[in-house]
Amino acid sequence: MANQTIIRGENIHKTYGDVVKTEVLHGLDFKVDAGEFISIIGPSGSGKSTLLNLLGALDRPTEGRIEMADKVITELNDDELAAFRNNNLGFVFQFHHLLPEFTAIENVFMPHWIRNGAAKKEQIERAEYLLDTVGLFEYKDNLSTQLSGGQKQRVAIARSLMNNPPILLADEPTGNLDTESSEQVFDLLRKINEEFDTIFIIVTHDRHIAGRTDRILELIDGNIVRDMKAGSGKEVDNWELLAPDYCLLCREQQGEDTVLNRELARASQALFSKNNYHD
Amino acid sequence: MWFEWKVAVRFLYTGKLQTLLILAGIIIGVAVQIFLGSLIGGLQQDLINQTVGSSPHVMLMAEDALPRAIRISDSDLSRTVTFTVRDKGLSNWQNIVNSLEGDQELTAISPTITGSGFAIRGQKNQPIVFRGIQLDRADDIYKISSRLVEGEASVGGNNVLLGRELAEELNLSAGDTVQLRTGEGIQDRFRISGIFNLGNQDLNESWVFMSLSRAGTLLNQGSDVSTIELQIADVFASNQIAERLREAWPATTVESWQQSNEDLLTALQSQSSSSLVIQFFVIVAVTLGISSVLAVSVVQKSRQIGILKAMGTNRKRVGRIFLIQGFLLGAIGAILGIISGIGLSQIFVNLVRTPAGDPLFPVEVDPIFIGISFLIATSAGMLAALIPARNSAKLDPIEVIQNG
Repeated sequence: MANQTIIRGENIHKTYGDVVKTEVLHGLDFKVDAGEFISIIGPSGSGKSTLLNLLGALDRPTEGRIEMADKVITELNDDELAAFRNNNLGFVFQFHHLLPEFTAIENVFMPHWIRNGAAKKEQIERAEYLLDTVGLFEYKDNLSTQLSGGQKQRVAIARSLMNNPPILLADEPTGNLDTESSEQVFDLLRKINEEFDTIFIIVTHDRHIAGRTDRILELIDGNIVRDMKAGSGKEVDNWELLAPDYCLLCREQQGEDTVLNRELARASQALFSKNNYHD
Repeated sequence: MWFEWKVAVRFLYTGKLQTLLILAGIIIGVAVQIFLGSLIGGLQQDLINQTVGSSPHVMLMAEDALPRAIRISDSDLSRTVTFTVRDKGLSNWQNIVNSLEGDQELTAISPTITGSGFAIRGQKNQPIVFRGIQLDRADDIYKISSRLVEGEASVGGNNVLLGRELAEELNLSAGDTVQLRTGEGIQDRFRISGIFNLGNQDLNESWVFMSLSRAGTLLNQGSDVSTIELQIADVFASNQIAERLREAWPATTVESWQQSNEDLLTALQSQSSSSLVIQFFVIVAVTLGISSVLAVSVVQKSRQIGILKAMGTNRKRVGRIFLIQGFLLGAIGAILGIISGIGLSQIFVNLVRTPAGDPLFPVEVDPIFIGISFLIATSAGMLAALIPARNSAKLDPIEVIQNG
């Protein structure tokens, strides 16, 4: 599919601290096309959460330019960013973050409430449809505190879709769930991706989850070290590296074809192919 | 605004215990304010009514006869005789009354002759005050006709009206005759046509009303009167009106009730100020209470605020959620507080009574005062919410999202 590019990041730097400056992202470049289902992996401190905050329009890069859904979000002010988040982004967090004061369906309404106020018939139908999609229609009038962890996360997914955003960001969406709930939630994300053609960007530690996405961005120490696309059958061994100009390791491989570099590349590939990769 | 209201109301509703506690605080504060204000307002109104209700507000008299210094010789410096007999009456009173007649600010004009004397019956001798009046005019001030307890209102010829206590003292009733003597020794017999109760023991014990002309001859005043008693529409304008009359009639002395009751008015004023101070501190306490509860609430709800912000609620709207909570607490607390305050003052009126069983004084529930109380409590609520609202607006959603 020759998809159109929805997200384009150019030379993104992020530095924290006023006195002691720590650069967390060192000039990232990437593109995401419509309908892509991407995971961002990397050890703690690699900058993947920082990247997600930037993509989530919750934070601004110190340097660089991010274009999303035809808007250069690095040029928007706070209020415009808030409106942008409301219209274009859905969030699913590790901790479900439902509002405990509201019922399941009211939580699903929330993005619409923020945008347009009270829900009309059309939105009520949509919220009910979304709850039905995540399999929780019968719990719609329960307070969110009465639901289990997996159920809450599914309500959060329904909520993230309420305003029909083109991009959905998820931070460890299954991080807090048992294996069975994880599977359910992941399958749901996949289903929504296919049904609504929504871009999914999932930050995860879990190699297993990452392996089931279409594309993996691996971050180490604030650099994208790998950008891989699933091959046919989505077997890990069939992953092919994307265009070499994205990839630091690839660049090094191209530049100096030394024994050491080849060994390094092979070693990291071997390490990566193991499912129980922990940092 | 719908969204902000929805969230604010839900936050208050789900934090029931906190909401109830702070509401109780506001209710008590406002109730105390209303109760205190009504009580003091009623007390003052009652005192002022007693002072100005059935009495003249402004009195026009003949110029004071100054004390005359009698010089015995040039060297003998001073030997001042300090009797100030108001020996002259107002001889031009008819002109003054005629010219005052059309004055919009005056509600009663009553020319009066006063003098002292005694009522005598058998061995009993009671000091009295003669009041020569035109009954219909004096009624405008004293409402004698409607305050008769016996007999009929008539002061023609030798008819006089006596106060209830004086009649009891001398064992007299309507239709009896009584011997009255002036300070100068002139005496005559008068027929008691009626007995009045002006609601004031002093007056009931001493005042004797008779016609203006009869008092003139009895007290040897001729056709002069002693004073022209006036009531005015706006009782607190008495000083200005007195000033105006003084200018119009330079040869007279004009006294206003505000001048003669300066002490009372000063006392009322300081009472009002101390009541205001109390009310002010009550409001301050209420404001601090709301503020601290909302500040705690911002911390408690920081997760919710973070998620609402991540979903695209901007800073201003998040702040508004807390302002609305402050407003709701203030407004609901004020309404319930006003109801309790009025209830409290009614209970007070019904429980605390004079030995005779009458309420001590009517408690004034002034709608303007209540409106002001409501506005103050409501704006105090919003003011109290300002700092929490600002803190909530500053909250960074990223921190909340990552730390669960």
